[in-house]
Amino acid sequence: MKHKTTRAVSLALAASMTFGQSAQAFCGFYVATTDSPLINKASRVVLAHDGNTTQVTMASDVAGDPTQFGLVIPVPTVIKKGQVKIVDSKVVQHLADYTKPRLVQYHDADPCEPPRVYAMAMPAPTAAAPAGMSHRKSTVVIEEQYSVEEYDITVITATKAADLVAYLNKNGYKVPAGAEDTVASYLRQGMHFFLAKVNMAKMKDDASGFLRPIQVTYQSPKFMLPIRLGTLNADGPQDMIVLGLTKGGRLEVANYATRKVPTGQEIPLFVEQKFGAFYDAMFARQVADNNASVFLEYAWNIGACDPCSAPPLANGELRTLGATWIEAQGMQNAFVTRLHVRYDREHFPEDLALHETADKESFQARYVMRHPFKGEPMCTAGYRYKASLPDRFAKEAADLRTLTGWTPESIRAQMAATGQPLR
Amino acid sequence: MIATLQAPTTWRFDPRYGQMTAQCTLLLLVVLVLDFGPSPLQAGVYLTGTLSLEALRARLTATPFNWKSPISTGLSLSLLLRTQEPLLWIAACVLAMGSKFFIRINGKHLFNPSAFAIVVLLTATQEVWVSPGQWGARLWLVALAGSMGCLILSRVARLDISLAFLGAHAGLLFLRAWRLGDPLTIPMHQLQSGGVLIFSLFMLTDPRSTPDSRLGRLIFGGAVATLAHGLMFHWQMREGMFYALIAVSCLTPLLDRFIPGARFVWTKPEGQPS
Repeated sequence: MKHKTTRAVSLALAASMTFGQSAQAFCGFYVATTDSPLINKASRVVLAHDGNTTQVTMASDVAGDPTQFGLVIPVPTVIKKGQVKIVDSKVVQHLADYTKPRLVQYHDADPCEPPRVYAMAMPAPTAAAPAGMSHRKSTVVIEEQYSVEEYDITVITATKAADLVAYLNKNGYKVPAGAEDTVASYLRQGMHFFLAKVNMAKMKDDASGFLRPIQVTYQSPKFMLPIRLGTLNADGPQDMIVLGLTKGGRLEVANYATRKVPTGQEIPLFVEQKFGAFYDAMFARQVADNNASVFLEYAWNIGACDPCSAPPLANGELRTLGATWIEAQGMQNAFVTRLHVRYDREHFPEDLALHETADKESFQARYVMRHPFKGEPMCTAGYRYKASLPDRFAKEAADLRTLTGWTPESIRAQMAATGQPLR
Repeated sequence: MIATLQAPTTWRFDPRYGQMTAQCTLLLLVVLVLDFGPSPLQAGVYLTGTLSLEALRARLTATPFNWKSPISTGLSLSLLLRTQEPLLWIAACVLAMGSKFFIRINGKHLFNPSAFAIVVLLTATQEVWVSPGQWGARLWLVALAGSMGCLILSRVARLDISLAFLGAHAGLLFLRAWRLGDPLTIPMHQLQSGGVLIFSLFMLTDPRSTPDSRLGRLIFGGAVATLAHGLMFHWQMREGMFYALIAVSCLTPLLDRFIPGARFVWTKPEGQPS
């Protein structure tokens, strides 16, 4: 009957987006099952928030035929041309890299030598990119229509949701079944719909293979991420990474619980080769244990990091992402929060209501590999150290099992292969 | 199983013991199970701060020292008010207890002490916050808080105000969903908020800062819910409940005047400040 071509999906800010046969959500994410890069399918939203001003930068994880791309986002105000910018996807990528969960390795010193510690941050593997348009009428009112670089943008409203949905379908945005009620709810809340499509004649290649992120700025007390359209697809849960830039402190969600992901655990050495799979497995367990929760992966003053998983962002990059209160030169007075949410209709029936706190406590998702000292013991402390290693390996194995649910047999075999035999 | 209702002045068991037990249980939960709870030091400062101020008041006025009420206020602050500034921990104690000692009309303090401190600090500084979503929508938590709260409040005879608030709150959420054409899962999710239940059971029900008459309390609870709904959904104020409680508390003297009722006394009718 219906063939699978463009299927609309949602996006954060209440967006919905379509992309070729892959039919992925803007916030779409397929749970990795093997050694896939860390959460590389999650859509990313950078939210810079200062008072009633919000700048939302939306980067999709989808790559495909740009002619098939379409973005549909409910927005609180009519977005005019000056309020839309196109951002280099590398900047979003940089912030994502800077805040991502990290693996840190330490090398045990010779216990017979004075203590020395080597630390090195190793960023986890990753990924990113953006958004697309149309028009005509019924009760639909085209409030704005313009082009910004390679995107053709239309802002519409309607008195009847059915007309708006018909308009979307007619203009190539295939809206998921059941979207009409959700669209109606947004319209009754006084929201407008921001639509974007790619103009192939103006298409630029930014070498990432993804479309460039779209940034929208608006003034409204509404500080939220509309996810409801995204949950209408039957593709299962979707992942979204929210990167918050605020003047004050940590960003949190007011209508769902925020939890910290486990951090600081010492894990076996073999995990270095499959850190992405490790994080996927661990995150999935956290979601299962704390349904309807949003997870904090990073919270830190933007001006510092320890250890850093990527070089610090320049002031210009932060301003590009919406933190315009930061001077071109000088101190980076901003706080960055990275939230990770895996959402579906059952557990996340309503949009995410965001809330800026004054919490400036630093947090990072950080996992530690300790390389044992391999030399021969030359003193009593050295013998004691060697004797203590099996217990340490056993604890690392037990912690890894608790975190990921991996089987003891698999952990044992892989530890043995990397010089960490269990008794 | 069914508690016998008695006149408040004849109770032997002070219901505040129950209230404090419930608050302590929730505090342990937030510290041990949930994230972003207060540090033990912060909770300790709130408790010693409120107790010290009460001791000072008792000494200066040569009246009995009442330890239960300041502990309850200290626990409420620990459960709800977040700030990393130690000076603001102390400021919260001073504001809460100060409002109780000095902002009085007709022999009753006007505001719930901890709600007053929360609202003043939220308004005056950028360094405090409350986390409405912190308690999540866990049914077990709601069930725990609810059952403990109901048990306590049925003895304090202030369950009516909670029920009025929760009834109006639920009604407004369902009305909003109906108006927007939203599925029922949305108001149901909103109703499962542990934070709302904690507010309604442990803060809204302060017997000394709410109207004396049952009708007055029903009006009070409904008014707080209505104002909070507007603040939260129209003005997007996540802490709307606290602002609503403080605003509506200003009406308590009027409600007491036009709809008089028997004044609540915790356990001892005479000479006991509460």
